[in-house]
Amino acid sequence: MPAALALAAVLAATSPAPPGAAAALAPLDALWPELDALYQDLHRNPELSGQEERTAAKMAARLRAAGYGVTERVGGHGVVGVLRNGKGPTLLVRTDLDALPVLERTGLPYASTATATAPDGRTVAVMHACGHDVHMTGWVAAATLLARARDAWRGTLVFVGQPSEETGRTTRPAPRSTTPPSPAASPARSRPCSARTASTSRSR
Amino acid sequence: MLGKDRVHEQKPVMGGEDFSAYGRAGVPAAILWIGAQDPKALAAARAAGKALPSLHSSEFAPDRERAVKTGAATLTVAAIELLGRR
Repeated sequence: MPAALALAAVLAATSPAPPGAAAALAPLDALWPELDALYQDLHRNPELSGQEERTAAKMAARLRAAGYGVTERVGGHGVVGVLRNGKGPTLLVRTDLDALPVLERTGLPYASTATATAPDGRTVAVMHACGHDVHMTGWVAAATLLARARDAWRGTLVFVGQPSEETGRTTRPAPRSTTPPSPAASPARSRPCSARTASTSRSR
Repeated sequence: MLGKDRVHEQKPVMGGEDFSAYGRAGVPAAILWIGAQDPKALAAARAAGKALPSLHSSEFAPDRERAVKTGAATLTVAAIELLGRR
């Protein structure tokens, strides 16, 4: 069975969860207050594509605290954390980092009031209106849970925080060194999140 | 883990999202779309025939605890499934 289909089966519970999964997830509820604080911090302090300096530093600090070897400034403000845990496959887990030039009107207590200078020189409001703060917080949580559950897996985890998803302008990293895998994300110009906008509003 | 009625396999779409660059580099890849709306708000909006503020909206307000925990658990279990000790 292709990996993606097998994955869907496990998540849907048509296949049993792998050994160790339940134990790995057990700390999640206890971690929530700290994760929520991170989420709200990220939401209050969004940064535009290519300007994710503070966001990237927060991600790097969380990975280091969890035991990952961290490289910063990969392809701009990219972050790569590596956790080696014996022989086995390498798995890359990616989050995006950037926010959008959108004025937040949610009225939430942790709503963004941030502004930034856009590439054209205008001052714009900035908001995590595409959920990248959700992505980052879940990614930090997974990195933390997996580092604590090293008995349940073997191989190498590579957690990548990728800048500039919204503009499709991640800088291709320098030629790969001995560190595994350099995520070479250098896509064509795109209209990020648009497909998800459609599917999310309809079916979720 | 999440429940059979809560996981849907999607066909690839030609939307804007540069994640495909990882797959095009030759690595088998999967992207997860996590439903992020408060189920009660979603049900109320559906009953009223309206759409909730979605991605890129100035009023987008995800149900943060549910969405983050779902994403975290999904990534964690997926990693253990793929790297698990047999």
